[in-house]
Amino acid sequence: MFDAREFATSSGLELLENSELGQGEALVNCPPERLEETLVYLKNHLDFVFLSAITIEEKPDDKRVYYWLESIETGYTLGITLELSEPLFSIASIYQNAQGLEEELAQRHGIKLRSRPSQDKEAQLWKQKTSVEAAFVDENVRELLWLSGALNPFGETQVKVVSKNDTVAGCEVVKGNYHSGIEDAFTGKTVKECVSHLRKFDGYEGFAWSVFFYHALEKGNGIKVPDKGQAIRMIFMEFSRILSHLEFCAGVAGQLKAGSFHLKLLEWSALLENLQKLYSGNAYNLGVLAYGGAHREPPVNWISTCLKSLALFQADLDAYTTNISGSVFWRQCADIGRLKSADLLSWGIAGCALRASGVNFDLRKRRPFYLYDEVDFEVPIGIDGSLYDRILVRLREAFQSVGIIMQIMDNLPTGEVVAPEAQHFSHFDLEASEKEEDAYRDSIERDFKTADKMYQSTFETSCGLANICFSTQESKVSRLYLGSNRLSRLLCLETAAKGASFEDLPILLKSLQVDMRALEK
Amino acid sequence: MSIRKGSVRPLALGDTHMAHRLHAYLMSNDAFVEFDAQAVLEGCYKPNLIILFGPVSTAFEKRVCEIREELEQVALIYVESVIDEESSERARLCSERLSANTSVIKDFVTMENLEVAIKGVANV
Repeated sequence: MFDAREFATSSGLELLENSELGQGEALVNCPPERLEETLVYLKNHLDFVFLSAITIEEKPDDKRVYYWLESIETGYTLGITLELSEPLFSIASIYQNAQGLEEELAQRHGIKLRSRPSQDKEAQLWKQKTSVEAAFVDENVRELLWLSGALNPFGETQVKVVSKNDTVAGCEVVKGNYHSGIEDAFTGKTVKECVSHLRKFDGYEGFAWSVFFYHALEKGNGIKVPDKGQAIRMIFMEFSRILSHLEFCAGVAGQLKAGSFHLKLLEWSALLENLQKLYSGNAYNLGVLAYGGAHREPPVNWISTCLKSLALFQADLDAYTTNISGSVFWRQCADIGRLKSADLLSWGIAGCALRASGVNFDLRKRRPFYLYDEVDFEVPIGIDGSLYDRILVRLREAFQSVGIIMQIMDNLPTGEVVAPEAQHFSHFDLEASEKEEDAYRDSIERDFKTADKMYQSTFETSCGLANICFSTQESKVSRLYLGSNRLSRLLCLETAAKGASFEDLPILLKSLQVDMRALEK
Repeated sequence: MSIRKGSVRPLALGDTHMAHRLHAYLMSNDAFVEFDAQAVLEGCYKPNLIILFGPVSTAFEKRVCEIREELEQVALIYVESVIDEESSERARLCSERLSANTSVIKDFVTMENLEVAIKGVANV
């Protein structure tokens, strides 16, 4: 197990004692001139292969930059902090995915970046672009242009492809704008508003972002969520995970025109959404989470209804997965979009894509949180990271997630759903008059106090590692970072597309699950 | 009142996740009897209703107008889940610019809200 104190002592760095991070997390202060050597050492000798986020904290007298690293062996989160000095030293030569994260910072804060490999890469791309134009003389060369998501107000992310005899010879992701203002829109919002609005971010995974927003806050303010509250959160996180897997498979099935399976996936999605609605009453699962736990006890009969439906769903899912694993139609995906684990690791991509390429890394196992160490589940692993593997890993993971939900429901802990010290904030009186309700809301605004400092949490969604980092001022959110590996996934296409069939490109892009809205946040 | 086959053939633009949710909802909802979810996957599906999920950029707005012209006689529902007053106003203006038949601009847009809007446009 990694020991942050020992590392700090042996490296002559300062371990920040008052950072109040949770178990398996630490923050180390590093002089700017030692950043490069420290990161190289951490990556090459201590297995911190993932860079999950780069964030900035601004105080009137101090401006600091934070690099959040994740160990592949232990799931340990280590924050390296240093004073921000411009131009910012680029770490893209150490962590390849840093170029996207640095670009985001530069666009959001107007920070200048010191010369870095990506600038050399831009020069290379320019050469490549010229060759694209020249290559048009040849009839066999085509260019395909994908335009980015709807949100981008400044520039569009484009993917340019050169193909020869129906095989992709070169692929280039032309950078767009990755900061369209979603994160800034949260500034000045109350904690409750933030948690609610995060549900609209990143599809079904929005719930996980909300959970880890509260998780960071609770960790920083010393609030222990009771077992029952943890169990309810886990149930809904696993529901979101399954729905996200089903959405991915539906997207691929749609592209492949696998009609009946596509419809089955839609049917399952509707079933699971309805089961969640029976608890929360809405599609966004508002009214499930509360500061310090869950909002309320599960409704009467909800657990038995869920168990009945989930048992049928699990059997159905198992049958379909078995069919797919033996199907010649689906085996055609075994030649599409092979992603090597080494490439994925160099881009800092975890999640299902990494597991499909044979690397056993799941944060729920490596660093169990809530009750994950008490439930029995397996981590499905693929062989060569092809689209076929990615589909099967996701379906098997959905199967495991159903198992997790059923185990928790069968053994739901007793006791409170919300921590006693936070109970006031989750008070829910259906019979209260409008006046009483208003008074209650006012009291929450007045009494809800959190320490004014920085909070962070690293977690894993179905798409990979994610990092949420924010500060509060007078209990309002002052700066929010939503760190994910979306841009790395898109940049990964440059490697994955080479040698692929031109016709397979749309499905390959789909399989990388680049959500343009989340990318252009 | 239910919507019968052929009367509404929606095309969702702007947000793949919401498109997935909508597809699942339409397929499983009794209000849309005989909604042919399979037809969406096939090439012969000619939409007569665009459901546009905002926010949209100027470039995307232009593209939606082009798609609308291509499809001919297509209705438009503008949908956006907003965060604050400012984004709500921006969404309203965008909906006006696109001459949407109806718009759903709320804090949290649900599929039930869309159902009401679709029924409104379909006159049922």
